[in-house]
Amino acid sequence: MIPTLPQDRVSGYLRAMGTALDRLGPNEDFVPLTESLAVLHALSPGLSGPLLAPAELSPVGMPAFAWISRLYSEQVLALKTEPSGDTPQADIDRALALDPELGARVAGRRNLHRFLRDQSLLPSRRVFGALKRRKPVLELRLYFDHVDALGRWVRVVADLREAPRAGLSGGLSRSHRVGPASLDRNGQVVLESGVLDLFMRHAAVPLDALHAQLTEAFGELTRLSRSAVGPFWFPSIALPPGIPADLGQGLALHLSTECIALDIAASSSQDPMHPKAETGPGDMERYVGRRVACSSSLVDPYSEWSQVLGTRLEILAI
Amino acid sequence: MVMSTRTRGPAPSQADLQKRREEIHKRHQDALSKVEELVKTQDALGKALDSELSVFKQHEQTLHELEATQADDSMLASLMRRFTARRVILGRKSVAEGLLKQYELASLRLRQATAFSDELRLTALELQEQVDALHQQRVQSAGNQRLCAEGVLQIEEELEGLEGGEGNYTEGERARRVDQLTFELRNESLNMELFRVAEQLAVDSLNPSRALRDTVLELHEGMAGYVMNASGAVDNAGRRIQALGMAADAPMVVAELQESLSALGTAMEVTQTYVEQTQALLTEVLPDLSKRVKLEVEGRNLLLTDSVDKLTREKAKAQADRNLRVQAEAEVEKWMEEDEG
Repeated sequence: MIPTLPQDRVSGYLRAMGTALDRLGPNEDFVPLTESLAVLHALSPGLSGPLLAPAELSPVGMPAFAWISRLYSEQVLALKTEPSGDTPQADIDRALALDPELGARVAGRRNLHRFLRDQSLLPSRRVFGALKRRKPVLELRLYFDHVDALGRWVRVVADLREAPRAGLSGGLSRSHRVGPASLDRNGQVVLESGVLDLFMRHAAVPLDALHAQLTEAFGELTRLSRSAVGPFWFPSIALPPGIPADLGQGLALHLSTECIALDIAASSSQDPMHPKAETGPGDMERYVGRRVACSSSLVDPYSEWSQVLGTRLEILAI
Repeated sequence: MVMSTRTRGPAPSQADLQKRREEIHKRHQDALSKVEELVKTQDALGKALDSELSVFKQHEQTLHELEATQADDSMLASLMRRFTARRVILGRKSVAEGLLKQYELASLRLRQATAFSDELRLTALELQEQVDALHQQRVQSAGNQRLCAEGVLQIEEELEGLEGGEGNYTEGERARRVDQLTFELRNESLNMELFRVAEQLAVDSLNPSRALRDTVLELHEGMAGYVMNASGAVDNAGRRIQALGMAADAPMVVAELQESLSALGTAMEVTQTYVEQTQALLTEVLPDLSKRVKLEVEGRNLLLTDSVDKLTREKAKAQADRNLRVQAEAEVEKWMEEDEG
């Protein structure tokens, strides 16, 4: 059974999620805030009318893939058409007069397409790289953004370091490549076509297993993180087993992150859902964290939950 | 004097009728062109979806192969897997990625079909509005025609009385009155004829308008039903692919993915039936529609009487009698039908 929001509750749901996300202000380890807010705005009936209905939710209260994928399809259609090809207002007025429901859909499509031509949305999946440092050895950062199986918006960030190689003169030689990632003449990171498939194949595996796969493909990793926007709990959403029921008596958006890196001093967890943090592979240590933006009535229950489990959950009231 | 002219609407001129006829014909021609375009778009959309869903199904074979590889637990296979995994780690395609791409293509096409379905609905509503306007014109023209007929008979009666010596008039006054009534009689007869033509024009335009509307309705019903059925199947497959596909290397997941692709069989069957139906529209319905709209023009050229100037008093009286009789018969028929109903 797919949870579906009644049409009159969709705007409120999206507004609440947007406010919570804005309040949490996710950093670069998470999917970009602007693109995420653009998705929420585009899904809103205030912009697109009933065009993208039904508003289906994932089991953790995030917009379901089916709902968002309608939006992605509309974006492709919007980018294929010129603004001059938009339905004229006179046609919309006629449609509204003949059949208000049809008119609302036609108007919603026109408004949504106008918005989507100027706005980039968080995509269903993408991989891209950025230069982190050129010297003493080349360091690159890879980003893999995707909507995971639970509907959460997840970003994996992998910091890669070129393995030092001895040059002919005995000194270190520099290349412009770390495994299948390389720098072009403009300083842009170019990835081989198999990289997206590699991430897709291993997106759901535990972070250490992903680390093993990436190490095999790229060489040395200095840091690897996986950070998620979601779950978004509210009274209609079933909480996972073991979570106190009173945490579901209001709105709460979670941001969680798990990171293994060489520069983490000691493993620790500030996440009540995963209160233990084991050390990472090799010389890496692990950090597990969670931040929550919730209704003010939930601040105390969340605080209590965190304290009982010996973590320091960051809680922000919406 | 002649009361009917005060209660009925103004009579159209011959130029008005000619213009109305041209407008209706142009609307029909435009609608026909649009319907032709809509049918072609529908045909293209159906075929594109059919081919995209077929590609989708081809992934089933990939999954079979993947499942077979995983099921092979011989020592050699196990060694080979480890070896190939290292060697081609970046060469291996993600099944999930391939399926998601294909799902997105099918989903995109269905969104196009949804937009197209809205366009069909709007066109059908506009055509229905035209049919409704024609009915209104027919009823108004028939009513006006009746009022004219009553006026003609009323004038004729007065004229006959004057000619038979009724009334207290001087000779000059009588002659003037007879001239006045003769003019009014011709005028009202002409109006009656113009309203008759207007009614006939509306009646004759109804059939092609209905045919156009019905064709678009048929297109819309087909498309809306198709989109609903195909979307359900494609969406279900998409949900499962998205939910399971991220771990597509696990054997259980591969089996689940195969199941979700089997569900697409329904969408494919629906698509194929739909494509066949659209073909029938292209080969049978459209030529018939074009013929009807063409005939409509030829037929209408015969509508106007060769010359209203040739209407004599006798003819006008006879026509007025006939008009009232026809309308009375129509009313009786309507009562009878209502009684039976």
